Amino acid sequence: MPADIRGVPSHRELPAMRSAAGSPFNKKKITGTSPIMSEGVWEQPQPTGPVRRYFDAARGNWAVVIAVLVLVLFVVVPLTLLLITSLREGTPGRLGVWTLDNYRDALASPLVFQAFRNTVGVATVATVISLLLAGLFAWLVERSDMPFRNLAFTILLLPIAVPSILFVLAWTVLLAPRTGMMNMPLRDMLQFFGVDLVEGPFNIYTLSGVIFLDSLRGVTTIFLMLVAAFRLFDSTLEEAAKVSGAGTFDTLRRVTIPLLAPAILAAAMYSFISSLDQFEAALAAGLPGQVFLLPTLIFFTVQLRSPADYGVSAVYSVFFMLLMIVLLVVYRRIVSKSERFVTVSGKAYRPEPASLGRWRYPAFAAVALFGVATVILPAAVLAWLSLLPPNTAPILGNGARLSFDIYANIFSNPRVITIASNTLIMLALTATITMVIAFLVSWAIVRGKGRGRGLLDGLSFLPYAFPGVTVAIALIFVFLNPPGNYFRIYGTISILVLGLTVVYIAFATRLMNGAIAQIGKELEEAGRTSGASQLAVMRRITLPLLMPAFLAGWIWVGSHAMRSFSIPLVLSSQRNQVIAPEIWRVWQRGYLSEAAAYGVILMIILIPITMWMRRLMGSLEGRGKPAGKPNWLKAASRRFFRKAAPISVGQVRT
Amino acid sequence: MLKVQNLRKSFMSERGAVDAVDDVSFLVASGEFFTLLGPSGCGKSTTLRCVAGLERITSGLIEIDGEAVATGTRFVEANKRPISMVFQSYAIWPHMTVLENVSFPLSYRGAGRASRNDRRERAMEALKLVQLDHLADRDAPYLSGGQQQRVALARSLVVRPKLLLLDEPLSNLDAKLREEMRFEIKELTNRLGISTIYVTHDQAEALSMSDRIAVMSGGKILQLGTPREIYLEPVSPSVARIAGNVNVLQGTVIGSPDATTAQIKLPSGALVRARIGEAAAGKNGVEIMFRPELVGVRSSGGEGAAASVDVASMNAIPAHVSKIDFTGDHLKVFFDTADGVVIGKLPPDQILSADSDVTLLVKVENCVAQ
Repeated sequence: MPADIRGVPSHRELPAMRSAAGSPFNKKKITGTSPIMSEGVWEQPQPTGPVRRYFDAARGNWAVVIAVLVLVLFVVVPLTLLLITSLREGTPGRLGVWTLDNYRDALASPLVFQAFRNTVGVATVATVISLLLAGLFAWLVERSDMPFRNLAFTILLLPIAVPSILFVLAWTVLLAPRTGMMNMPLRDMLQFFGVDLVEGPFNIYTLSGVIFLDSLRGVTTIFLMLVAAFRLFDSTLEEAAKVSGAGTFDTLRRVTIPLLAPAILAAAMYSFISSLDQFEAALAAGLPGQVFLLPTLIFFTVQLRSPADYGVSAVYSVFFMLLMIVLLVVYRRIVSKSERFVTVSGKAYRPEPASLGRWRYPAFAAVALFGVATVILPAAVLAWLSLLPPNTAPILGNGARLSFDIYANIFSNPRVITIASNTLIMLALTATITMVIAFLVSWAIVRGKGRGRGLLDGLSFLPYAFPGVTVAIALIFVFLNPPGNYFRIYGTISILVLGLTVVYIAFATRLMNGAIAQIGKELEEAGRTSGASQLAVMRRITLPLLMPAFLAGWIWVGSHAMRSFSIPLVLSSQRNQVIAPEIWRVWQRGYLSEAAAYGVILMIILIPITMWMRRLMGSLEGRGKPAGKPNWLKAASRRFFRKAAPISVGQVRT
Repeated sequence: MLKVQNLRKSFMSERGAVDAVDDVSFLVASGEFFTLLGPSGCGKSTTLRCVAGLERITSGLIEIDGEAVATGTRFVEANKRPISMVFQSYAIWPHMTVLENVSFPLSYRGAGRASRNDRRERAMEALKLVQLDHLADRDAPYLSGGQQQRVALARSLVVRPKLLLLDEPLSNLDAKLREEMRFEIKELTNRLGISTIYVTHDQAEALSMSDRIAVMSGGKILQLGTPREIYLEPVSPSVARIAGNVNVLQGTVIGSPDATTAQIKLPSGALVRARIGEAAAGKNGVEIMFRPELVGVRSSGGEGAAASVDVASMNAIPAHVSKIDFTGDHLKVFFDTADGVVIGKLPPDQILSADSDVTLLVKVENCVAQ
């Protein structure tokens, strides 16, 4: 340390000041008075230097400091290793010299441009289609007199309960060019009209196939966001337009849509980012047809191609990440603007619904058709497949010899039991760790002081831009290279938990931010002035009050971890298999009925959880499903949280 | 009991540091009921939060019961200070029962860690003080605003703090309940002999409850004194306005008949007399302040309320009645004078017709020049 810095008095004072200032962990009661005090003379404090300011900011902000450290560990470290690996030769664990070769190799491949174009193209088209469908459905459910609106709401929610990989696999069975269960009868029909085809007319293994699948998968998320926007929308604004002489259509065009535009844009952007990271469709429908998207290209480079090229995959990941981060920044801009723009307030009454006339039933039919395509058909296909005897081609004609044998054998299979227990352990650990971190981080964001909060907010939202595949690859780098390899967690369940925690932190902190903001600051301050330390206040006041949100978040993370696909697919080996990637592997090996049976069981578990979760979140928010009657489920969850005051969990997204 | 000396608290904002509390000093004696009065944003709540230990002070000194709890470099956490606090929102914990709320401080404060039974007993005692012992086992969310307020009070009194801090505790209650609680709080703190700092923007609360009041504005204390001094001898029009309605006339001192009285010339040329306030010493241009309810009226004919009063101790100002508002408990009358509008608060049975010429009568001792 240079002499001149050592000479600055504020440096020497630092240790003493920090202990005297008293972080809650270091509560030294001040005894005795300093000479300055005992003389009764008051002196102005020393002028503040940069170091002094830094510690001033840190003291009393221990929560912010810890939260930043945790996030750095979870977010910044993997990112850094990704970057380092992209700039070094060799393989993880045996990194060589610094080089730009990886970048040269990556850019020399024509695949990367194809993948980039495909990824952006698929996401764009799919988002537009999802947005149109979701906008229509949200308006129908919230603002029209369509029949069975409650049922329609449920139908639009259900896709959440169907893991993407199952949805995609089922559609490949339906629309495979030659053997597709839908294509064959269609060809027969076309032949009747004199059109002779060997395959088709549809082919799921194409770019359009991937777009079709992603469009349908994207609807539910946008739908839920738009429903929320509709409900918050002050309908007197529309009524003012009506009494000014505008008709239904003009009101929609000149008042409603412009006012909702920021919300719509935000939803579209959110969906676009999610869509870029869609892995299952790209893998199961894209790869067989040689259609590469960025996530599958990365996966292909690391896992399918031999030898695996980690350096190049790191380069792809860096590109992918950059693209996502740019979009994320744009998204944040839009959201902050939309929050300023629409001065919304919840209204106790619902506006007069728009009359659809003779379109009422066709409107519902459209919703029902969506339900058939996203839930009923895939579920039916899987159920039927699971009942087929092994080694039977999935052709309608083979339906005669159905049996339940496969289910009878599943539960006596030790491998299945291992996978089930792995999945449960992973789920419980991921949900618990994620929510604890989210609680800590959100508490620091909402309650903390100073500049660290902005950094925290950004850091905790950043993982939303992390594609699952790249997180998984980054973790490989972290734990195969020193010093991470010391922990020996590569190939264990822990590494899966770490990967999933990273990606779910973004959602979980949003949820907890909202929940903590709902708890009046004075409730905590009253604990402090009653003599409780900061930790005691957290334990006896903050945490109990947050329990409903904490549990809701736990269930959300848990149910997502249960069906998580891309991260465990890349990270799992022999010892840490979990259900969703296992389904795909079994399927790839040709055991379709076995894979389908796993899928059916998974869906049977997920459907009630999904419904319960939505209602729980709805009842916590005080506005759940449209005009729902109280039922036993709601009553039970109320009883469960008997003591908690109504607490909003913020805007909950799936 | 409490010593606050040169207290300064600055917050960082986009335009740099802003002093929310700017060089505030005061002393609170043992058992005293001390009020910080001022409009919102004047720094009174921040001052209170600094005393409570919920904010770290920028510089200055806070001493409670002889112990320095906050200086520029030292800070005793809120839970280590011998205080209790009642919040504007009451801050009743919704996940606990009434009894659990009230007995919470007993796990951290009071004579040692009391036993479970002992805690219950002491909490019930505190609830009896606020007449809520019959609701002890009710869940906290099922309380009315007034009941929540009493629970908050019981919670703050259960450990018999040396210093009780009240942050606008009545502002969320309706008018009638507010008046009731005013007396109850005053009576309780009096009986228990607790030193109290009370923060409010309501002058009626401040004047009726306090032993002493500090009137704050812009982060500074403008005046410190008894309710009577604040109300009748404000040091400036701003203090006078914070403590109630007031008439202010501009004038120039032209002479001084005796040591305490000034002869003042109004812009119109009219002459009035007023007591010399402490801020007026040696000044020529002054502001003369008097309260609307201390304005009397004599109709130009010569009869009326003040006809028989000793005119030598009165200021007489010719005026024209421009508007009369009947509010029930009084008449609010707007008078035009040659030197500006004067408002009078007159008894509701006063006979007065709009658009008539009258003479305003204000006792010289009720006019203060500052």
